[in-house]
Amino acid sequence: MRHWPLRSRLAVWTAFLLTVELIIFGLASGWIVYQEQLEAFREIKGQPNSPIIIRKEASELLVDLASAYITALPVGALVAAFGVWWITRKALQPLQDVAGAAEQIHVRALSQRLPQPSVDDEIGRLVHVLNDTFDRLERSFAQATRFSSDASHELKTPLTIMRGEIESALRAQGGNPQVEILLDGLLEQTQRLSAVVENLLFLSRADARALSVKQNIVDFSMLCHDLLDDAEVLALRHRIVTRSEISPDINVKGDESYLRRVLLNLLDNAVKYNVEKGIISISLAISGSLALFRISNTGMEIPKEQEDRIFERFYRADPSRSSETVGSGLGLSICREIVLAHGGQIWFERPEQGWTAFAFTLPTAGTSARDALSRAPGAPVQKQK
Amino acid sequence: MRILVVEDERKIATFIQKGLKESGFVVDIVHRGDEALEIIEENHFDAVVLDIMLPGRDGLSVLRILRQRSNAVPVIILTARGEVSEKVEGLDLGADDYLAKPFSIDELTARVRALTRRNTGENLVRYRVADLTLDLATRIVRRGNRRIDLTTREFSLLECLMRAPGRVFTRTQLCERVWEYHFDPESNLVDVYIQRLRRKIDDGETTKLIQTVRGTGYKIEEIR
Repeated sequence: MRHWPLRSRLAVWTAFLLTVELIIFGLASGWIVYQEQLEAFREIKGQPNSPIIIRKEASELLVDLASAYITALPVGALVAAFGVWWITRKALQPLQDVAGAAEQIHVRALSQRLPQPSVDDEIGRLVHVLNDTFDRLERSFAQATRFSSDASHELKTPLTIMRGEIESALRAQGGNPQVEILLDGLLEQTQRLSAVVENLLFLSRADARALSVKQNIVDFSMLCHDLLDDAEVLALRHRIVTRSEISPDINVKGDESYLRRVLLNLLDNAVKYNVEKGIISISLAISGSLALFRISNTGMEIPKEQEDRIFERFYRADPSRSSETVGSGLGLSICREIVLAHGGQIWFERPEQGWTAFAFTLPTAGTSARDALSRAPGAPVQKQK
Repeated sequence: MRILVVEDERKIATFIQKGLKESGFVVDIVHRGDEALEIIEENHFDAVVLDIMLPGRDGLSVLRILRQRSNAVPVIILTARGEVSEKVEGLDLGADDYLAKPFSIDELTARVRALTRRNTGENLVRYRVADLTLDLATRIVRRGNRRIDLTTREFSLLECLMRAPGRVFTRTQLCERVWEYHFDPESNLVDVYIQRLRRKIDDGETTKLIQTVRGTGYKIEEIR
């Protein structure tokens, strides 16, 4: 009964209570009639009428009464149930309207409000409270969005100036290697800082639910092949071996540049936290209606008690290595936000001793005609724009 | 070629001016949106570099009014927000290109050059260095008559180099453009891809086009 709508539950309960009430009323009135008959019988004791006949009359009356009750009971209960069902429909209609209107208010239309009913009853109060909540929600949402855009401007302007000045100094310097190394180092750090700022702003937009994710058909298998190319190159330096198993023609719906970012972040981790002559294994497969990507690597294990924290911002698996390994500690949180924004799931796995793995799923999309064309035999693999 | 730079941050305006001047453009600067509108109406410019956040009148509204008055001067928008929605809005309003801050001055110069070329009817979608051509529309690369098959990454890397022939790109710059990701600067990603490009483009040719600039990075140029 728990899953029935409120109206049906009220109607059933009313019918039930009414039935119980009628039964009690019937039993009580039956009892009273019976007692009265008995009394009448005592009064007329010794009169010509036989008490047996009177008794019989009394019980006949009772039977009549009982049958009348039994017929009336379900009818009464039904009428009451229907009545309640009908009345509550009238009473709950304003609530239905409120729920319908509230559904229309979401992130993209936060400025809308519920129509305030003319009567100031319980529903009126509810609408008032809800509208207040939406006001607060809109304000904090606007604040978060404005913060990220103000912070963008305030942080990026000096970075733009620094970068521009360093680049023009690099061009103007007269081939002095010391100055050049210095300026190159500065440029490198400026770019690193820009990357951190970009990542932080990305996360603050994600928190404000203000990420704009394109909904294109993306050839995910192709993205994985590109990734594999990069993996082979990056792995070379540490003599890491790469393995792969990528199912062809898996398309997903989403934003190509965001998805590339997830893949590069995960690859970057798999290389950084690997060991000399280690292994990186990349796989892409279909699992039901989902595309399942997995990247595993040999290397340092993440302690069990820290497993829950790896997607946290600025988290680093091993604090002692932070000076050695470059990175802001934001990579995995960004991956998580992007995957979630695409309607997928991302998680950490420990396949066996000495291995760590990250896996994520994305809902698949059908093959588009454009994709089929661009992969016609002989044509070079095209970059989707 | 005369370019108008509309940017309220004076330092940014100055180095944009410097960079564009080095590439042979004549550059005017204004710091306010309303002034920009007046100046563009009264003068001829080959392109406008337009910041979005401006005092007086914001960049998007300047652009809207220009297009309403059917002024078709090529416009590159600069923005600090890097928000896709803003980019889409700008392009919808009739901007010809878009660049997010912080940008590299080389990138801006290359784009301004591309825009002004487009306006003079030159073929924008094909880059050429010596006998090497790269066609952006068909994604076909040729060295002389030889057709070269490139992977996605190799193509983007070559495109980046060919957009500004003779200009030196650092490894970080190339990484940023091609991968849009900030890799460990120690990583040899760029070097390996450059090696692959060299194998495909320069092997067996008498003139080598891809040059290593020791300690700095790479450039593409025909050295005679």
